[in-house]
Amino acid sequence: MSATIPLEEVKTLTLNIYRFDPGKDEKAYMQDIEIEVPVNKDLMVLDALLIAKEKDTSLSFRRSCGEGVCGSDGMNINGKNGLACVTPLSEAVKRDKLVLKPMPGLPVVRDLIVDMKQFFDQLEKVKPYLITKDEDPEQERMQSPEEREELDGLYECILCGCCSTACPSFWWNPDKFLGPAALLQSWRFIADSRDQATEERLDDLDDAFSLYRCHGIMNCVSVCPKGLNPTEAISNIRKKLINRKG
Amino acid sequence: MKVDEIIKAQDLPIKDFDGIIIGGGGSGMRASLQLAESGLNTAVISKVFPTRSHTVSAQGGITCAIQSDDPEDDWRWHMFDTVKGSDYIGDQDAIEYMCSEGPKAVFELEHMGMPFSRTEEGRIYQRPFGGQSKDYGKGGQASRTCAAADRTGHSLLHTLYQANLKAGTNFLNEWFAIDLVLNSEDEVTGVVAFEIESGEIFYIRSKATVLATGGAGRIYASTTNALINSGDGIGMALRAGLPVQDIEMWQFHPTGIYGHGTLVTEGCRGEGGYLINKDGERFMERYAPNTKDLASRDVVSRAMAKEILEGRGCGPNEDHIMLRLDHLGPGVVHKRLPGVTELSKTFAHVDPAVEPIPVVPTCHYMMGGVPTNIHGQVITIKNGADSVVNGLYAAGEVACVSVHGGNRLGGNSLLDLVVFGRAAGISIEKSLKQGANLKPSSNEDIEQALSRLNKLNASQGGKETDELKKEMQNNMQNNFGVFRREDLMEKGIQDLGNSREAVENIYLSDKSASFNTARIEALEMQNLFEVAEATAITANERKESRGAHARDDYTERDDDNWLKHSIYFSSTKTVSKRDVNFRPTTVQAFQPSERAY
Amino acid sequence: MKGIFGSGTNDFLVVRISSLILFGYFAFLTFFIVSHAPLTFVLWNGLFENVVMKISTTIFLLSFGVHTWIGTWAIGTDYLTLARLGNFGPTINKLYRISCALIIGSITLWSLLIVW
Repeated sequence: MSATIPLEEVKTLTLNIYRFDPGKDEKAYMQDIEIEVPVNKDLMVLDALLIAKEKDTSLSFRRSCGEGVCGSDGMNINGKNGLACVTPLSEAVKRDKLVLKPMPGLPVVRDLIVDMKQFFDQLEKVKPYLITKDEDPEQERMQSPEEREELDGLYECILCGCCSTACPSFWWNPDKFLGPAALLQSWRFIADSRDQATEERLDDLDDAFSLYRCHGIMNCVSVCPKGLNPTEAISNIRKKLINRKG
Repeated sequence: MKVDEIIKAQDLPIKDFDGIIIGGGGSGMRASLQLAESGLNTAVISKVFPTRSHTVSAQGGITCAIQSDDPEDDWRWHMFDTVKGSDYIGDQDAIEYMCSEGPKAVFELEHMGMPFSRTEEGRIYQRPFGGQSKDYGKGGQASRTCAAADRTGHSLLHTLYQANLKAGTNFLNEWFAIDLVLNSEDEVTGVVAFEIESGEIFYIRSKATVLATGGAGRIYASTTNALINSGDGIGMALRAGLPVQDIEMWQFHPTGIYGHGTLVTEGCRGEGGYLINKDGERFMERYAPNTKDLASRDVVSRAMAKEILEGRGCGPNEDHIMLRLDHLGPGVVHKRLPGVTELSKTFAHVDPAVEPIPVVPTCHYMMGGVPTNIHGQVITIKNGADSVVNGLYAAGEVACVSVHGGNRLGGNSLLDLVVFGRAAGISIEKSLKQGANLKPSSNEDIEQALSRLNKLNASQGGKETDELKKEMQNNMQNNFGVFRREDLMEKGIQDLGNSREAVENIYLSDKSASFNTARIEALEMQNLFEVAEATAITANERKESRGAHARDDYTERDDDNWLKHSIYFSSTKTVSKRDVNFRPTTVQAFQPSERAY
Repeated sequence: MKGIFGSGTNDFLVVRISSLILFGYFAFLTFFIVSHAPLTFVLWNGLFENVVMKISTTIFLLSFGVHTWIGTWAIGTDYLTLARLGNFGPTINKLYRISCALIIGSITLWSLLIVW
């Protein structure tokens, strides 16, 4: 969480970082930044970036909580999407190399920062909020622990974008295919015993692209920093869609 | 008009709203929801995408007497605990409002879809937390903290974002607010802010402005707070000539992960975990014989600090304490505390179901803030009397209403932010319906709000942000930590005073417009500095020990002189006193007594 | 795009069911060839003179038609788009669709003519 490290035994690590500043760069380039990291302490990729930013303050990336719960610092780390703050250097650095790029598939704003508008637009399409028709009771709605358990593995999504930007179907049709993150949220509400809009939700998904463009590649599952399974959520929705045909 | 130019007020484009909320965390989005649902044109200005706000990190829960665990539970008992926890400088009208309105606010969250954990009966699950009692301290430990596993903040924040999408709130995501715009009557008419991505800058004019900017834990070197917690609202308020209250009161959470600062929830101890020193002794039995590890946070943190100072810390450097959970078994640990399990594995390399977690008291929460009344209206002091600042509201951690006084109870921050975010929304709605009118701000007024940015853009040399920030953070950590004493604090204040000029004239080497995080960090640093200096001066001034403010040189609570709020203005750097409210409307006030756990 | 057969689910079911038919038909042919080895022209010709076989083959050919039509359409909308190929994308996609239609249509029709 803090870039401050005691001056102990250190070694040099070269970060190879994607750089692009729309104000001055015609096109993007890769830049090496050498930093010193302690030998006997395993830093996170975010710590390495914070050290690099002390050397070059123009280096830009998003970050907030530093503990893997806010979803700010999704990026492509040595070829795989992940959160910089919970990816240890020991795991990320391969053959003394650490290549950091923005998440693929979305327009780059600057350096490691992508424009996530398309990602959030798709999220909004699934109406990611509870829809009820009955009047709210005076107290809470009742829900059994078993019904609540249906939401485990769904409500934990932090909207970091690692999954959707690792998904070829989302790369090819980011405006039509909703992407794993949005579909996981869709299932989070369909699966909620309190939600009363299942039919409308299913109707909205029943076209050629929104959901059915998932080809089961499962990149989403392999990169999710929270260990969630969007592919399974998508297949659960598909089962519902097919079952209601009779 | 872009943020990398020297900007003149008359050239600044304007955006108009009925209500703006600066900050997209829990209190901000609860306020915006109230406004958007009432049909007002509402905008949330958030420097990060709203679900990246620090509310997301809250783990254990939201404390509220919803009578699920105990059908006999009573909000008055919760009120008693909160008053006692505050070490008697929490305002009792505000605490009364929070505890009695709380159940409504929590049920509303459930209605919005918040995925609370459940009891067998299907009600919201409640767990025990520190400082909770039944029957005004006489009935033993209560279980009053409503939880969604140990991801309550995440669940709450995402639910509020979802509800705001449904309500049609305008989101100005990744916009940074520079300073408040006042008018000649010292009313607030909006804010100057820029879109971080494009660098486009605007005067955002509004009939009501809500500060919901959260905390400022980053004034310390070691903190559980997110990197974005830079006290922007405090900085803006102080620069606008408004005071802060009880800003010396900083909560050190007992269980920040050693070496990293990441929080593990008090719910760990609520679920049966306990702290041990290097001898394996459950030392809290000595410090708080009745409640042991579930004494309030200030008490536990001081006990831990003492164990370490007296040579009973764990590890080769004897500089931390261990939190044991392994006796609870993997069933409880992994089911009730999945987030803590994940964090412990990532940052401490231990599975808490097998090994204890190394922890130290870590800066966690700012009890003080911008003083408000229970309607969220910001208060200033004029000629010794309270005076409402028209057009300005505050809620959540940035505000000091004050429900936490000298020490906040676990689970009360989430309740604070939904109850008072909602209250601010309700009172804005009311005042706009009555046709609140603010005098327009002049170009000179707007110029004032632009001056900080223009200075930064014109900077040609001097110290840069990182260096100044490290100096300040180490200063605060060493001189204004769990235990405080005059000589160290005076040295600290002097060091801060020496850096003020450099902070006001930070050198920004990269002056680009688009997503320039260096510019944002410089602006944040200036806000942090305001908080740090306010904390330092006020802490030295409060010559007693109360709540989280523990002094080696004044070890006792001094009710004769300090049963008071502190009020600090940065323009004069002076501290004055303000009466604590002892006038709840439906119950008898709780009078100060000795605080034992 | 509601789908070629009215909805995403319909398209999905058509693809899945037609693939089962294709698989079943090939499985039967394989079984026939293996169990009648060495295969003679008479045997083979006799098989296709059977009305049941003619109807099965017709269903098979129609399944082949829709399966490949939806499949090639999906490929085209993934890869041959404005976003991926620039301004020529839509034209290339159109040409691709026409070629697909010609190839799939002629294979299906020609085969039907042979069978009947």
